[in-house]
Amino acid sequence: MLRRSMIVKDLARVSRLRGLMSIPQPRHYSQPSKAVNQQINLQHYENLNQSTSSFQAKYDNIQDYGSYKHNVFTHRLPESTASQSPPLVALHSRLNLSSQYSLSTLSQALNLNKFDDGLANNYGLNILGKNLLSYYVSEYLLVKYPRLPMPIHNVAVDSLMGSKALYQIGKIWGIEVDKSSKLDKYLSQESEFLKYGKLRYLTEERLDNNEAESGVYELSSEEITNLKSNNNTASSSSFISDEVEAYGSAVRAIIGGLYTHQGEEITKQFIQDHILSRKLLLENMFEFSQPTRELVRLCDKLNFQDPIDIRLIAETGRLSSHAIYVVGVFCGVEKLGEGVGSSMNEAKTRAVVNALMSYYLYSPIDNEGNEVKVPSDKDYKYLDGIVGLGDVAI
Amino acid sequence: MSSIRQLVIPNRLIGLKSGISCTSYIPVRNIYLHKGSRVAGLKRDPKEAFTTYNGYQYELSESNLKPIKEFLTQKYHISDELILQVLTHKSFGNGIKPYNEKLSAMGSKILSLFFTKFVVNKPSNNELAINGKNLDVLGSPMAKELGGRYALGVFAKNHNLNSIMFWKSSSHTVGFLNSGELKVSAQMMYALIGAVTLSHGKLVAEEFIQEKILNSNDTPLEDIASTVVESNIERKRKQKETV
Amino acid sequence: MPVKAIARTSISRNGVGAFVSPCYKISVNYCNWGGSSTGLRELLNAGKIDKIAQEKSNIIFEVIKRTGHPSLKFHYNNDVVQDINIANLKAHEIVNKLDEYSQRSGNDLFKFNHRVLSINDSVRGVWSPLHTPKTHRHKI
Repeated sequence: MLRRSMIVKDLARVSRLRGLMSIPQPRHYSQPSKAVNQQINLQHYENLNQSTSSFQAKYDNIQDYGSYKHNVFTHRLPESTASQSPPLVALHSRLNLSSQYSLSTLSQALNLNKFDDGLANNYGLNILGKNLLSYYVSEYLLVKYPRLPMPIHNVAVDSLMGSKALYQIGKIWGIEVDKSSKLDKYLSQESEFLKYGKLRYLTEERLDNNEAESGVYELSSEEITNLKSNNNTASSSSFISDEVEAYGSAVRAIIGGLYTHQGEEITKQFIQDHILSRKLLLENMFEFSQPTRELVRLCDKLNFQDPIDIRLIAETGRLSSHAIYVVGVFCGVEKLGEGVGSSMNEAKTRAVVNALMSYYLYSPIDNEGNEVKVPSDKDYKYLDGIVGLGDVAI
Repeated sequence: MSSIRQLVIPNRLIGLKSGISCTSYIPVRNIYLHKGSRVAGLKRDPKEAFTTYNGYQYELSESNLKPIKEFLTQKYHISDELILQVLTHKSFGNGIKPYNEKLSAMGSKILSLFFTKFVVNKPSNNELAINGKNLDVLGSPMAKELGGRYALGVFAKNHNLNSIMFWKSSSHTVGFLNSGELKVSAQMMYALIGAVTLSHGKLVAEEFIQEKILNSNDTPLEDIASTVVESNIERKRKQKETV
Repeated sequence: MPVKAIARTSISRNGVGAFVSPCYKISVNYCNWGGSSTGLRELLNAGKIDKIAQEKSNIIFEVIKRTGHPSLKFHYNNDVVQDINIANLKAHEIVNKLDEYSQRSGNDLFKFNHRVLSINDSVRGVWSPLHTPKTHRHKI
């Protein structure tokens, strides 16, 4: 089958047609404003109603998992159509996917629309990908950093596979959003195959209304509720736009598709290559409120016999305006941490935080000194210290 | 009611350069260990503080570990310390003993992955299936409930795995669901699966889930999950009717 | 809660695991009439652009007919679009441009006069004057 990775366009024709837009024509496309739009709106309203009532698969028997079926979907994209889409072929090649991974699945992974003429969307693929991702990411973090406190662990998982990280990954993969409405496509004579290689999450209604200034767009109803709920928790920076969410969903779905076509081993390798290879900023994720109390409590939990001591190791310029103190935290004769500060108090806090960080960021190694293997690796062996004991409460 | 104990801190040996070791002073402290209701500032007697509401003492004893050991059998055996950690919830003893939070994070992830693969790989004649895998089942209430908290909590209770658990609730008397026992039992089950995963690797853990949890002889997980889901659907239908 | 978490997004390290080329799309703009597009038209007529597109299968090629000077638009995955004017260039020069810009990262070129450029911490740490024996310490 010939795979097309080239698009040919005639821009002069497009602008000619755009010019025609203002002149009334007998076809209903020439007056796009009211009549057509209203029709579409109504249709979408009904569709929305459907979606809120239930987007649920029907089944014969609750335990017969093969019989589940979504009735809103009637077909998948034929492979012959998918292979005509240049962005799709290019994406397939960029991700180094094997020929087993069909282009139609890749296209399905990029489709988030529930009602696109019965074309199957990425709902199932997304869930499959999410489960695969969260297993492999958690496994990696749990084994590599067994002592991370749970809040940090959760944020670290998010930093690797949260929507924002996956959005960046989707961007890096060169996925583009399909931003043109049906009317635009008709006018610019855009090949119908083009959209199958783009991320489709905007409803036709929103596509028609995207006439505003560049960089300004209207929030969807979900985004508004999202924003409002965030305002209550006083962290508006955690607002996630529909676009970010859509990219995340597409990336997860692509990973899900990899499992369906090539199996779990390949998927694991893919996750390692694309997601676990990213740099984690673990050191910057900690925010201590009462580090000294926490350290004392931690030593208690670890059954250290000796009390915690804070001792001055070195100092200079005590009588000058730029004094420097080096302070150590000791438990008996063991030095747990060390800090430098311009006052004793600062140095002490730094030392305690240093001690806590060096405990929390511990990463085990095996008996030969190699990096420890994860449970899904072939010859995995249990090591002492691989299981976290849990955080302390103050 | 109260006791006074003498606690002798062991001698600390400090090695000097000359090779002579000298013993430091031997402090003898009197520590009052409080029994009964909590009083701010008083250290509680560990014997009482580390006893569950139903009278089990926190320790590595055969009787404490027996239910889990019998369930695991020799094939999926895990170390005694790990079993005790599996049985200990964060709420016990203010989290000072090793508890099962990290283990259950591992277990819940492998369980949801297992059930996702399990439901997807069932034979299907759905024409939307990708490469023979029917993805339409994902996201359905049944698929969600299979690895869910409710099903596992009930499973633990049915198999009597949660008879000895080290945890604390604000009110132990208000029943299985409301006291949080269901949640803690489910977390214990996740932790058990997580502990098997970390001890034996992913493949063995998947065998374990298949053999011991999915194909368990009395009330397998699928049946519990389907009853829960069906009763939920029934309840929603009735609510609609009344409205 | 004793320790709180601060959300941070991980940083991509292209090439550490998988490598994905930063240039994902090239728009080739040509004019069917003007003399400055002669070189590009030659390439298009000979099917050379087709061949290049097949070789660089990880890049989307978009051929657009438009009046004016011909240009190559390179789209990079850091949202940068570089517009390269190829007016009056010969066919082989255009191929060179295609090769050069399709391998770029999209970042601006800069003079590399740093000893080390890294997002990782120093392996060796920072030298400290205070961690020497007391007799050797600098006194103020």
